[in-house]
Amino acid sequence: MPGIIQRDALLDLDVNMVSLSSAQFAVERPTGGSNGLGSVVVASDRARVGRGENPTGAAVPAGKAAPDNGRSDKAATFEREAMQYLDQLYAAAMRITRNPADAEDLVQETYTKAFANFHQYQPGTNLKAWMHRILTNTYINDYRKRQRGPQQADTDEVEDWQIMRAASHDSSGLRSAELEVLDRITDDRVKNALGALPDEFQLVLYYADVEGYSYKEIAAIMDTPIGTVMSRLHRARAQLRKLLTGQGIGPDVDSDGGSGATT
Amino acid sequence: MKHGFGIFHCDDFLSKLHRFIDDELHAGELTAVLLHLEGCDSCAHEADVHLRLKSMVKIACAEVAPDHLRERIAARIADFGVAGDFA
Repeated sequence: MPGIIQRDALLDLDVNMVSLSSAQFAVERPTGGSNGLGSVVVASDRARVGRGENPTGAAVPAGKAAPDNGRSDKAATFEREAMQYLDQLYAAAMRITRNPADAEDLVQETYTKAFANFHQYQPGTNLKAWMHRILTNTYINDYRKRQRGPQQADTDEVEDWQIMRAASHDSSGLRSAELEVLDRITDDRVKNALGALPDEFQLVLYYADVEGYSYKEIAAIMDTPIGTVMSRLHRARAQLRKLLTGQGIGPDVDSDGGSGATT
Repeated sequence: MKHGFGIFHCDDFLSKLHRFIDDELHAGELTAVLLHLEGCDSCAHEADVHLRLKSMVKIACAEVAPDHLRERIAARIADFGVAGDFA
């Protein structure tokens, strides 16, 4: 069919997602809003599209050209709303794919799926979180299976804060030494250390530390219980700390499927 | 040996450490945590290290998507807009 990109399978609604509804991303606190768009205008456009009030949206057979305004309205609305998050989606993709080419493919697939399912997005909910969920899901269900098989993160929900009581907890000398080490660490070293963590650990750190999502939002994005989010955060940080400063008595890096890098 | 400052002990603090740095504590918990941190250097260090790590991750993970990606995506969406509603 002319005009349809070949990887149609991506657009299949059965994309292994539990649900693409964005209801779970109800906005509970102000989002960034750095786009400079008039939010009132955007919200009303979105509401119109989201409610399916676009008269040409539903019943036109695929391949048959619809009146221009319907389709281009949807595309224009989506573009205006979603493209502002490109850097944030790309950054998350870079963390888990670890290279620009795969990150670009993953982000493009994410946008394609998001556009295909934009009718399931509920106006007023957190669009960026909804798209991060699609990205996460696409990565886990498509990319990782394709590329190197499932990589299991340890999801034991043990209270590992107990073993996290660091050696430095009892020595002021070690404490100040650790802070000095942290002060000298470059961004590249942080990235390398993150790259040694399991994918789920990298993602949970990205969503918590970079995007500032709540635990509840991260649980929805990653489709896990909140307890798993917390457990992964604990372990990810313990491993990161150990990699960067050599301190903290966290779980061994290797035990969770990390690559064992020591830098 | 447990240290006690404020209304709870170091272990109580450590169990809330991540929720503290992720801004997930309820107001009452936050008050207790801050009170404990005032009197406990060891726990203050733990909080300091984790807040620094959080900030380092945030800075290191910033990325700017390449322009050609933006163009590729926009073109693809435009294609779909013409091709039909596939949803």
